[in-house]
Amino acid sequence: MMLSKNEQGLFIETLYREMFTQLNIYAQNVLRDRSLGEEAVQDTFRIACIKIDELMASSNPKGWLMNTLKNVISNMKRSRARMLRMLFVAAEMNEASFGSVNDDIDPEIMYGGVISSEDFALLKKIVLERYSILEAAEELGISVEACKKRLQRIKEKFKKNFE
Amino acid sequence: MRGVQAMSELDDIKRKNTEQLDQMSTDDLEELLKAKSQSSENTDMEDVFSILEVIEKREKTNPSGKYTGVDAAWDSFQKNYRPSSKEAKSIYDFAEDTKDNTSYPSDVKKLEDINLFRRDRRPLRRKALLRMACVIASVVIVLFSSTIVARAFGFDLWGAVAKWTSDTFGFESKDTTDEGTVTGPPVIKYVDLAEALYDYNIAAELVPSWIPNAFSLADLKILETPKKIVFDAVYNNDNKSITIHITDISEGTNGSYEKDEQYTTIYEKNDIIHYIMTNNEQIVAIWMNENYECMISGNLSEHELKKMIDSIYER
Repeated sequence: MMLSKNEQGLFIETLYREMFTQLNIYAQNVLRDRSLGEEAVQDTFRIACIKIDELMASSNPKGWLMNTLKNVISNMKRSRARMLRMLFVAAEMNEASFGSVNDDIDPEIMYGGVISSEDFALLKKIVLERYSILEAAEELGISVEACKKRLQRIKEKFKKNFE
Repeated sequence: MRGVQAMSELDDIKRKNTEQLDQMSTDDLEELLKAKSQSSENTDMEDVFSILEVIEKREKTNPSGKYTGVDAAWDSFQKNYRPSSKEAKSIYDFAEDTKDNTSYPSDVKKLEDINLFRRDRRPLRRKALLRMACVIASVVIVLFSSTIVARAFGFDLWGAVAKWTSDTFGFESKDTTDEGTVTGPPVIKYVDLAEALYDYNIAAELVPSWIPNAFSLADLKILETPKKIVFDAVYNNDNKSITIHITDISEGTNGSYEKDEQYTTIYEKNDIIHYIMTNNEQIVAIWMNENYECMISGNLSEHELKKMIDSIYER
């Protein structure tokens, strides 16, 4: 039987209130970071909303959520590691001319015009200072979705120019 | 009748496990959680939820302030994360990153055999409960033995002393423990050593950013034992090779390394002493940084080796 949007919303909220704390304790300890752990759980419930039919059909929603959280954590680590590598690969390609990655060199020069100072600052916050996307978005005064799109565009620029 | 008796035994085991978890400190439970998160077995999820329930119960009665409350989190979810459509994606789905690893559970069916939130209330399998009892018992023994001090406060680096004889070199600590057994091969393939360390949340400066020309990464292995994590990267250039070996020694050192009889010198960089020696026509550098014992060895000149060491601290 197909549930209405309101019923689906109620299902998500009930599950959220029941499971958030446990999932958050898990994520925070595995990631060793409060804001990243919380973001991993929020993303897990975001996926739960997107895959609501699959979740509701599961005979084990709690296990479904935990498994999703594990995958989110894994993707989170992988994405951040790749962004870090991206910074260093690009820096190494310019190393002969501009030295190492640091704040003394204008990133617009160091990355050959590929990345603006604002984009570099965002990437640095996410990758080196371990900001969550929400924390970075709040500093920039934009939404989480907009921040994600901005990161996506930066990654595409890097990929096009340095890979 | 035997079924009823078995059920009763299982309930008894479960109750004892919960009692044992209840007796552990929250810090120790969190350490156990971290250890459990490394396991790839789905059945370990039962154990994980048992630990989480105990911590959650304590947070409800005596909040530590470490974890965000559910009301504030729900508000943030509604405001910042709730997708506007079913076409939305995970926040960390950057397309190419998740091509080979979807954010969604791919093996949910396997989880249905686990007695967590399920609608049918079949009893937990006896084997799983017994296994959990063994795990908890062994962890309790480890945590309450003398090594708990090292675990809680980190390896005593000040107590670690470089010790060499005519043909061996190593760091020695007061607490030498058995390293345990290797739990299995790494799950994730990394393309460079820095990425692997980052993935393991290792922020210390350990990896050279400079490697002599023409050497390229040939192999990268990560071995995890209950007591340590070892990163081993091998770079090749024709018949020549360089090995970088990094070990998390929070719970004890690697032991000793073989070396030639005569040559041991000290190279200080970034306030860290690097011991340089030779072994079988290869030059070797060994040092400690934070909780990590590091080694570079290979067909290198002393100048190249020092340049590699310098590059570790240049970023």
